[in-house]
Amino acid sequence: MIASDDELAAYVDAASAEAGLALGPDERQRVLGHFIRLAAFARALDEVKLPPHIEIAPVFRP
Amino acid sequence: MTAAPPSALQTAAAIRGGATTARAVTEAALAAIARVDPGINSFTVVTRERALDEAAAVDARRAAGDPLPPLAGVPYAVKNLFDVTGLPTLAGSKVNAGLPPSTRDATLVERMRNAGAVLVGTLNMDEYAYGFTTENSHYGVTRNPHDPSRVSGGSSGGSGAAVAARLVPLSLGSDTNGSIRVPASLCGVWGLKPTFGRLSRRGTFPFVASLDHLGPFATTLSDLAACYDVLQGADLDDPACAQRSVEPVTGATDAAAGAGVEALRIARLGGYFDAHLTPPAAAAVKRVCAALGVRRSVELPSAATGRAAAFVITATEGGALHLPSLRTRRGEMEPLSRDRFVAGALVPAAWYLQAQRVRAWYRDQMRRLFADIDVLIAAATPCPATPVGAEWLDLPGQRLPLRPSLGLLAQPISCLGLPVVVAPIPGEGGGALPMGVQIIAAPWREDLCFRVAAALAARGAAAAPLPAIHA
Repeated sequence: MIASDDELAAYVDAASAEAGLALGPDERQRVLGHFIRLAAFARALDEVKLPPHIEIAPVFRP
Repeated sequence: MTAAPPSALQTAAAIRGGATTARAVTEAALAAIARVDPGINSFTVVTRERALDEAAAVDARRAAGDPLPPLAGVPYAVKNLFDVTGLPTLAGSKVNAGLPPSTRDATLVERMRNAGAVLVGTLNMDEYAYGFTTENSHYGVTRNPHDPSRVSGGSSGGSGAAVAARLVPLSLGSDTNGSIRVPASLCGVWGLKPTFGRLSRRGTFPFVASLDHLGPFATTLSDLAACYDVLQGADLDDPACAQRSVEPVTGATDAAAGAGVEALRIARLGGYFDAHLTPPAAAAVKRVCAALGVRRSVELPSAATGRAAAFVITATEGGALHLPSLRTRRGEMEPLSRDRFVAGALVPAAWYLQAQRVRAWYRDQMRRLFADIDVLIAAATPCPATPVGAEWLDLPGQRLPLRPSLGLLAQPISCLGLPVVVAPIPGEGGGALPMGVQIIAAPWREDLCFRVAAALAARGAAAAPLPAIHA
């Protein structure tokens, strides 16, 4: 993941529109700031090379 | 400063022995709330009628000669994300105020009632539990009883403050990323975040299903253990609740148990956990290690990665949960957290799933660490209580945004669902604020947390200080 802040902003614009979240200009900037922070965490997680058998821990019990 | 009010167990014993009545204890608690709480704002609702009814039921049982349950007549209160019959479950929000009143108590409230405890009210919190300071824009700031110019921590800030101020000897809260441990630390009281899945969450407003825990606060370790023991038990109505029988810890808090800790392998968490300490926090950890004779330090190299996983999981599940309100009622939501919820609602699935898989990998690393360690010690927060409105946390060599960073030392632990007792360590010197230290054990070993906590209490290193606000 190497998206620039501008690319993340474009993603936030598209994803928020798809989610039905109309963001005003100030709100968009604040949300983008949080999203850029999340992206930094996601990049750190992406660097962890996991073997394919590691599963998430489900609690769903049919 | 007056003498400390009686503990929960002392109160129950006094009622059982006929020295007082549940009604008298309840009326005293209600009077203390009316007198003291306007200065700290820990309660959002006082359940006066219910409290007097529950107290009357306890007194009637005693009058009839029935044996009384362990917490008979003990006042307590719950974070306002617990369902309480007759009240909408606010979860700190304005949006939820319009919900219909609950028709049934949460499972843990039912268990407290079965144990004879008397519910006197519901407590303030960060909206939808997404915060560490209880600076709630709708219901006001919950102020720290030790210094009302400072925060009580969050998100269970009301639960920590009400106990610290001795308005109730027990309270219940929730902890997703530190929301029991942070207020227990900043308010200087005992707190327990049990193993993930230990206590039923049925009837509580969720935040992050993957990470949500419930647990108690208390002014004494014995009270914490007694409360935890009555809360335990399987519940099929919470899909994450483990189907385990009750494993009591009450016996783990006596002096003999505390004296046996030399046989335990205890280590201090270094590395990441040392890098995020202000001097008072470092001093608190040092005092705990000195009291326990701990000289070993271990590193958890992936702690920062574990925190990252918790951060992404939290934002994503929280954002998705509240997406309907974010679409239509965003203007009524907490300004301090709604933008974070929106950002979380936009997270790509791959980020979330990677975070969940890293969590599983991180858990396996921690399991290896517990192969030759029984208990780990770490500060609960990077600092004691901070001023209301503070924006920044200054650590050696770095400045971080305060509100998300109060959970820096708690998140890497709760991400793994490990049991933690927070021990309150009084501040050193006149006017110094208390803060908490985490006593961490392997999954399902709450008993070890309590044994080490008992040793700290017996050796005078840990105790919940009485705040000056208590008149």
